[in-house]
Amino acid sequence: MEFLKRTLCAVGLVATGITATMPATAAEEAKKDPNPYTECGIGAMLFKNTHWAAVSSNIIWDLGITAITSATASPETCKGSSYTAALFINTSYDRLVEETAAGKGAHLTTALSLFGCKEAQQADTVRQVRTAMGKAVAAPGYMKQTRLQKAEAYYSVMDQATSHSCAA
Amino acid sequence: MAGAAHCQALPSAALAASPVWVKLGHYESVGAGRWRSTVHPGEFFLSAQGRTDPQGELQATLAAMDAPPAADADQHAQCRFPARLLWLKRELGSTVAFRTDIQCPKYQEWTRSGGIESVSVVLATGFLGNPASYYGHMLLKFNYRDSPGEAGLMDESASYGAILDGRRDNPFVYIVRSVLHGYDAGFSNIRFYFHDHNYGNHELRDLWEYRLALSDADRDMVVAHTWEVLGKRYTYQFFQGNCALRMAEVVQIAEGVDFVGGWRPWIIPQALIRRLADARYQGRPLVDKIIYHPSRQSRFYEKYQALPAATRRLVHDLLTEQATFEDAQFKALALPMQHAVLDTLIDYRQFVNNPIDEAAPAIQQQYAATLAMRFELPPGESAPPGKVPPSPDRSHAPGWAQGSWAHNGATGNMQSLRIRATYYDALDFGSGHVRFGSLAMGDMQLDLLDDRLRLGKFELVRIESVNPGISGLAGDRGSSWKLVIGADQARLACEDCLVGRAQVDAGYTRRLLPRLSAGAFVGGALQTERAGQGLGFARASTALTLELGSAVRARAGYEFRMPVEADRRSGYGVAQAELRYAFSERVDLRLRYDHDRIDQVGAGLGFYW
Repeated sequence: MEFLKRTLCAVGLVATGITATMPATAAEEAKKDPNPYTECGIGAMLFKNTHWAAVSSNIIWDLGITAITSATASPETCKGSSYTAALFINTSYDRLVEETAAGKGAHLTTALSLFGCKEAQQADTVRQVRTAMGKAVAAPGYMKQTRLQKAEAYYSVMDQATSHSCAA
Repeated sequence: MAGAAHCQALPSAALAASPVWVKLGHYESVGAGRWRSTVHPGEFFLSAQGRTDPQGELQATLAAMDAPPAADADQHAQCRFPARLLWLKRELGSTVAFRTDIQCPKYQEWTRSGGIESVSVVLATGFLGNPASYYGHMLLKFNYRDSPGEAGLMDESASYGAILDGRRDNPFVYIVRSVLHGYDAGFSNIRFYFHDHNYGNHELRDLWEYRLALSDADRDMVVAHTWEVLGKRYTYQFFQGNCALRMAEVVQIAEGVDFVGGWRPWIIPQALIRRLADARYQGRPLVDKIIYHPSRQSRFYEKYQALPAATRRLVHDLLTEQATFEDAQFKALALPMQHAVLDTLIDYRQFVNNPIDEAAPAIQQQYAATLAMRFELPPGESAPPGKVPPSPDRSHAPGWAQGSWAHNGATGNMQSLRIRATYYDALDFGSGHVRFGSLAMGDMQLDLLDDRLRLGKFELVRIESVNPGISGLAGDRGSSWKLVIGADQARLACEDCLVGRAQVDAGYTRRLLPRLSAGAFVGGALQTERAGQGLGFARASTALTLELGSAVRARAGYEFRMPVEADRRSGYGVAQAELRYAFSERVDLRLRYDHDRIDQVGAGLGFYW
């Protein structure tokens, strides 16, 4: 938990630094995007096109995904690419972090594409994500974090790495 | 005005009777020229009598297609029923001008504006931990042109299942209610990665993807019709109106596609997959590619079995903390082998401690340390994927009938006819089945002894859930269980001692060699007190199952039974041995020996249907 706070603070500081140099209108636009983890209730809108709780696998007894946060942003603002990526990371976290450790895999490739990272840009991005996540996994208390916390940290790492390496 | 002109000019009676319109409306004949849709009344129909009036529904559809744009664009009929529109344009395009000013934002978003390249049927293999999933599950996958990688994790999928409406029914209540049509059902859609995670990592079931070689036009019809049925309600029918049939109905919207065939008393997902894999479409196979998505368990077994023996011992030692990653034994390995060891450990932990987040702290710590070491080493895949196992469509048909002859040391010669409705036993399991396990329902045997007919046995259900225990590591030591409910001749020597029986056993199974499995169980039976056979017995049993080749399997077992009543005689031993030879996927020969105070030998010829 402590490491996560430091990481988020570090990300926040970086984001602040970036924001300070951006044109005011773009910064205002960035601030309008809801944080998919704190404002969009990841897990609560899994079956967005149905009205019932579980219609799958004949039935699903336990989705294994629980919403810790409740959605505070409107449904319309919570369906962009950031939300899609966050949902993917939350569901696929275990495979994603394992493939990141290996440096390769379908889930990793998918996450990179969700963040708009083209194939030619992915190698450098993977190196950055791998370095950051390697530190996160090795930090004491990593397994004491909730799944949502780990996923949120991964999202932040991927977001930062792709912002640097995969910008158009 | 344009709509009125359409209704007067069109041959809607003939059109309403066309096979495609009947399929689009999910109409079934109820006799005397009447129809009834399997979809419940509601948003699926534009006419108030649409559910029972295909012609009226067609008239209403034509009129609605010509309506002006709706305030909510996605509510226009062209947006709600894109498959109907495609078909009507094809049938009437030369005589009717459909309006082109309708935009369908949600449908365009879902299809990524025509970005779906192909459609796949996906089978999740059977899962003996959940009665609702014994026979597997089928769903549709819509493969986008721009999906990164072959797995297509962000592709859309559609799945059909029972709607619980907040009920918390246990699995057995679910079975009973769904047999009695006690649930509504419907299609839901979600990105494929959810199913990849849920089936592959959570339920440890393999996914097999059968990609269809449909033409662009037929693919678009299947996609559009899926959109039409999303969120609509049906009645869930365990035997026939289940996921397999409903999926097939959507795919069979494409003209020339028919793999369900005629009426069947029950439809099983894996059986339907066999027919799908054999189906032809426009002179070529309907399925152009089969893609294997292994479960976490399958991936662990593949990695573990690929390790040299000495490295497997290192894995054992690392797990039991008799070795560490700092030891020379690990450091001396070449990098790819270090990767292989770490990936095996990671898959093992996720397999036996699923979900890892709820494992004991020491387990979590070990997993995290393994993952951290993986990050510490240079990146790289441990090994290329191994050989893909045979796909589920290669297994035999679900039904089995056998004619046999036997000689019983007490009752003499006997001819028998046995019919098993579904599915497989420890000698004829196939791809997609639990290896060395059993899942059988409706297994009945009639015996003819001296011109007298008797019911030899009837098994309502027989389940042998066998964990292969391939690695022998903690959590993979082969815990297994058996459940048999039915009626049986209580002893071998009696002519008529049929008793109702419920049998339960628990124990362990280990794969001693790749083709040899051994099990030991304790359990017993409760039975109806008839013919002086008592209320039941406790037992200890063992079994050996051997694969002698691709077509030959044998099983031998012994059990010691102790009657539950104290005043009954002491326990007794029962032995069985059976050898099966498969001539083909369709025909097998079985030789059997039984011992229960007296001996019985027999041979039977079986046929799969």
